[in-house]
Amino acid sequence: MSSRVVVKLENVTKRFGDVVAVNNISFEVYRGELFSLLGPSGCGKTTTLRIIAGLEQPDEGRVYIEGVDVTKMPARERKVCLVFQEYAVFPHMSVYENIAFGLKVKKLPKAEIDKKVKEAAEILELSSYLNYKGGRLGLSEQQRVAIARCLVVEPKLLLLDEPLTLVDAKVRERMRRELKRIQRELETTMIYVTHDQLEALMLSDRVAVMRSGRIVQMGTPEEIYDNPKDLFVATFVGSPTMNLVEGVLELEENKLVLKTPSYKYILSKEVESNIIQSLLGSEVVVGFRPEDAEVRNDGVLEGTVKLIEIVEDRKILHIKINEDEVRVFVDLLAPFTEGQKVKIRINPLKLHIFEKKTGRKLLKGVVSG
Amino acid sequence: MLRRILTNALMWLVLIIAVVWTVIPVMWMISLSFKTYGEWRTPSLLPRNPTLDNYIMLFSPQALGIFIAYTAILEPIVGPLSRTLIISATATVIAVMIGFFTAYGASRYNSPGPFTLFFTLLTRMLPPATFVTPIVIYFTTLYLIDNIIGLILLYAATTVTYAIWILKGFIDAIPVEWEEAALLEGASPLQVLFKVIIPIARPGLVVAGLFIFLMAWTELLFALVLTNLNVPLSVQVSKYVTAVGALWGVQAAAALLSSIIPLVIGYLIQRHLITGFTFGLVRG
Amino acid sequence: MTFLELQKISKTIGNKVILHEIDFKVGKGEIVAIIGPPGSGKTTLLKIISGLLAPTSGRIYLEGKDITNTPPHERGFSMVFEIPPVYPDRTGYENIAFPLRLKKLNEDEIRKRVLAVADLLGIRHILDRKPSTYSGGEYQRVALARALVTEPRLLLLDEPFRNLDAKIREAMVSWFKDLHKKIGVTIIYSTHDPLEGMTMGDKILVLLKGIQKQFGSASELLARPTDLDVDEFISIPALNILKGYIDECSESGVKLSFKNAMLKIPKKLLKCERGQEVFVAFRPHDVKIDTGEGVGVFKGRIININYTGRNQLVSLETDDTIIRAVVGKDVKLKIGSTVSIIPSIENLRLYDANTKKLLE
Repeated sequence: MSSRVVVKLENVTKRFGDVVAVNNISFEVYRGELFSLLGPSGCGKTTTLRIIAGLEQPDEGRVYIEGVDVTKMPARERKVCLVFQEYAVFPHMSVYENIAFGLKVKKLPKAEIDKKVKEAAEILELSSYLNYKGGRLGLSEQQRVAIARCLVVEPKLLLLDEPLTLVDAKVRERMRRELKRIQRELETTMIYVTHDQLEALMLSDRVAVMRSGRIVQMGTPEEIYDNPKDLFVATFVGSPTMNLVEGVLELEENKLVLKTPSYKYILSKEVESNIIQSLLGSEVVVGFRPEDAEVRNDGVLEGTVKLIEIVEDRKILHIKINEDEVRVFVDLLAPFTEGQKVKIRINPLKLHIFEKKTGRKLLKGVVSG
Repeated sequence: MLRRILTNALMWLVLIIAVVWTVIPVMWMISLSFKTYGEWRTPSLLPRNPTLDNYIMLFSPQALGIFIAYTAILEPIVGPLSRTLIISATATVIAVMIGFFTAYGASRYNSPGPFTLFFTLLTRMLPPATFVTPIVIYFTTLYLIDNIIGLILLYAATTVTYAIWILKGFIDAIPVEWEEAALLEGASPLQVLFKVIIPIARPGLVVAGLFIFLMAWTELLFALVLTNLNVPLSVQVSKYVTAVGALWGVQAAAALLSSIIPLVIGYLIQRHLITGFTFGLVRG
Repeated sequence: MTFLELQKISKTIGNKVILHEIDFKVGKGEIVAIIGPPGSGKTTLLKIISGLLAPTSGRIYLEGKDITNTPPHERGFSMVFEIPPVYPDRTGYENIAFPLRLKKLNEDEIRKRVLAVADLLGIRHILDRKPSTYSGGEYQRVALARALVTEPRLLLLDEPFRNLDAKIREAMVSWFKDLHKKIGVTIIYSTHDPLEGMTMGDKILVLLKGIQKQFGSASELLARPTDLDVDEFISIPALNILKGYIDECSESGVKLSFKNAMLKIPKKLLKCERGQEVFVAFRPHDVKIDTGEGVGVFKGRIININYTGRNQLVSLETDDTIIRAVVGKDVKLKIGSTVSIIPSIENLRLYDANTKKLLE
């Protein structure tokens, strides 16, 4: 085992009664990296984290931390620290005492504790709060105290279980930026559990997307976003959700056509038939992200604007095309109205084609880039 | 590794002692209730000649002539049993009702004020024996001695504080928004109470009720002092072993009988205890 | 047409001002989103509109009629609270039927209406189940069904999507807009998330510390925030704010000077003084990065990059502040490198440094 690896899970399975919460999971987390477990509620991500922390015992498989088999080691001997979603700060203690708590338990000399607490407070911008009682803090400060408490004990590994879920939108946005910066500066190895795909993309060096106790895809945020392995990852990651249309692929005069029971869509005027050949005639789901299509006069798909939403700096048109609805980004100031007819063109390089039966990705891009 | 084995061994030891400590007396009681007179004082766990004589004796003391000396003072168990049933059930209903309304007021309107609420606990901090005498004087003037109404009132009054504190916890956990939604929809405050709060707090009502029922069922001190002829079950059970003589087997039978009824009631209402009690935020 | 009107609604508890002179009108069938951080008075305002709380001063009119003193249940409003009123002891059906039972409707009528609203919200299959088996989205829909079954004249929603997973929340917002189109009920809705509010609301009320900062459509808010606080609150990712001085005022525009930079804006200000201290604000989306030698106004060292899927959010350290920029993900950037930053001149706003008011 290379010394780069801080955590290694080997075929870990955990059952609760009849429910398999974690199903034969293996992965490695490297030194200094922020690794995210991303998935919807009940996918097993928190259980996986708790197994690493030692709060749950796996039924099968092994857990290694820095090469040592810790599967049976009690939580307190593992030198990992866990930040919970809430209730992580003692309300009756001051911020200083909260941060110092782990060090006092270890009976470190006072001067050393003082130095470490002040350093951590500095990094997390808590210096001005040190004398506040924990109970008086807002949620974002509480979470920062919780993280500071973990940082001072210099854990081999910092585990975070949806620490930003309960804080409000503005603070969450700031914390995402700060956490990433702090993690990079301190080079702490972190495992981060979240249901929020944007959070995972923004923070992580690598992401494992989980579903029903299994890891569906693992990779850098770019890989996960640009090259989802199956329909689940494609729709779970990315906001607004990837557009999907079901049908059978056909080629007509070198145009790619998707046939649904009652309609025929021209997906792309340009297509390299040798790329697409093997897929013709099979039942597929075609997907494209809202940013990979544009409204153009020479577009090949025509529909009616059903709804306009503002998302950050852009507008999203919900366009009804026959029975399907797709979303396309347009400029914030673009003068579209609901009920208007528009044409869209999809970037043929960014078409994702999935097998309908299994959801497996078959192809990305119908022309070579 | 050795340490882990030691901890495990110690854990088992403690468990075994605890089980022996609690289970053996009960087993002894069961066995004793089926033993014949001659066996009462023999230290065997199983009765050699199992008999129902002790149970027959409970229901018709005259049936077994050999104990004639006692039968004069013992009435059939049906009387005390039905008295205790009436006393415990009525006291429970009264205590839970008063407790619920007080708890609701305390939880939602902060009445009757935190101190008064705490004060109700104070009555339970004194040893009961300290107010036996005042109660006796009090009850004599009210003609409540040897009267089941007296015991009902006394039990309801002494247990209501438990009902308040148990129920307050349950009501506190119900979001006030749930009441406000009903108010908006046109419910009157009483409808809110009966159609929203009481059904949702039902597990709490059941817990408080069961707890109070058991206290009333087993209470001995006041029952002993305040009754003479109309004795409740707890007093009756104590009467089988007196200075005059000891009907051990019969007492064991009576004790068994008196513990079976709360057991049955507890079993019947336990499903109310496990009904979903998830409040507030449900995550998808 | 004005449907509901709030006139100078204030609420004080003890000597603490919770709401100060809230004043706005709602048209029939509109969605008004109240946006503000936690503790800004959103819930209090909704409760005052519903009648559960009385305002300290001010009046509320419904279709021209003063309803300030009308008891809550006579107003015909429904409210979905942050902790949705779905009672755990009864099935979904009984929860939705609850308000109809209070009205003593007959069983057939109740059944008809419950099923109709359940079909509308797509929850017919969960009507027989108890709430403990629901997912977050289902829970929220049952609460909504219960609020809609009485056919309220006004629907009040207090942070209805707060406790949902991000992905479910996103789906719920679109689903809800769609639903609103079908039923057309007037809605007042609160959220701490400015983006969600601007997506949902036809009109948006910005409520900061109990003060009505601005009331208008999302495009109005984005184009012309009345003051810096509004601009700062509605911008996600966080707004870039630079302190500078007006160097020169002329017909053709304003010249601004910063610590180590100059900026010329071709915009004529109504009132403009030399030496006036100003805040220059621009959203991270309105910043371009030039990796070459460049003509950028500011120089910055990249200290952080957050990938967002569509884009990347870059934090840059300049001489005296940190500037955030959203740039396309095709641009290759490296932490530690120095680049030029060009704020988009058209999308840049000036605020007076003392009053924080927008300078126009």
